[in-house]
Amino acid sequence: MRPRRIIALSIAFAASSVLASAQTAQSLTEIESKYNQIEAAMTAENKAWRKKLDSCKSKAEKEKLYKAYPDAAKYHPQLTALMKSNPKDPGSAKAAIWVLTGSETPEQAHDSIEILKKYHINSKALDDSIAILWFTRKPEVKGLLNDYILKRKDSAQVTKAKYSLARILMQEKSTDEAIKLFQAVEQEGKNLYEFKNSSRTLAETATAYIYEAKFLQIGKKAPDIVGTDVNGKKLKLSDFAGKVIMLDFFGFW
Amino acid sequence: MLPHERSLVNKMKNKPFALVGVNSDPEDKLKSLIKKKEVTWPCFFDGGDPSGPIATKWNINGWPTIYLIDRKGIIRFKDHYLDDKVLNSLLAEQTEHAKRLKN
Repeated sequence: MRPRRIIALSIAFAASSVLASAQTAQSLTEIESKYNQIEAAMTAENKAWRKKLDSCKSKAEKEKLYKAYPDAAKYHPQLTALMKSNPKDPGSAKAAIWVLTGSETPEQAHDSIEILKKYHINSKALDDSIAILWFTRKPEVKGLLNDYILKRKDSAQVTKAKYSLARILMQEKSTDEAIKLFQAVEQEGKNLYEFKNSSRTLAETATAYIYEAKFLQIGKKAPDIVGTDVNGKKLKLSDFAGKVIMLDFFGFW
Repeated sequence: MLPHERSLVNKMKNKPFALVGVNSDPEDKLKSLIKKKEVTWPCFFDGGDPSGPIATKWNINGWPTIYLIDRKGIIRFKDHYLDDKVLNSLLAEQTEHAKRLKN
């Protein structure tokens, strides 16, 4: 299984690549050009890594390579300096999102959040990543999402922000608040997706989270599971009632 | 991962404990895991992929996900790993309860 951090970085990077491809031929600011250079360096590293992965012969070799995944965080100091040199520049919004989605501590994320809140609530860069900001797992991001929800008029974008906010509230176990937001997303997110190729709509994901928040929290009675084993024999979770049950969702597919 | 679970099932043989799996593998893969005795505990077959009905309903987004449920059916723990301390305290509760019933 790939460690969580790798997936987080891949997502952050995928988000930033989307931004790059959306760039038109219009003249770039100096900061945007510098940002693009950094991104090109990261893209090249990534490509080289994938090529190596494809040529791996053994599982052990692959595991080793996963640990050497190109580290998007090593560009953080450069990107932070860039956004601080002119926080209002559109390139700074992109730099801020890169740093925010890749940072591990609140301190690392602080400047990015402030810059986005102050200058880039209406930026395309923030629009493109708003539905994945829950991935940062940071309470500090709630302020940014709340600002965005208050100030933006585009209802689809606001729904995406509500979704991210609800996921963060869920992470914090503020389940009642999370349920309210997920209920809004359930109504408003029927044609919205987290990513272009997501398998579920935001509304469907919200439904699953509402169920989890209501019935699958610590202290709640576990719902029964009625199903079959691999040979078609009937199996119920309640068959084991009275015992301590370790319910283990697993698979290797 | 599986060796850990097998040894757990062994260790808990005489205790009021049940390991119950919800497996997201394709049918032939799960069948072969059972045949090779890598999986020796009861297991739901969840439609053959990670978006099966049980995993979807339980909103599983990462594997493994582990729930610990006490003798009354109350969820006491959930995470992507097993906390032995919680498991042991639930078993102690259970033993205590059985003792009280006897007296």
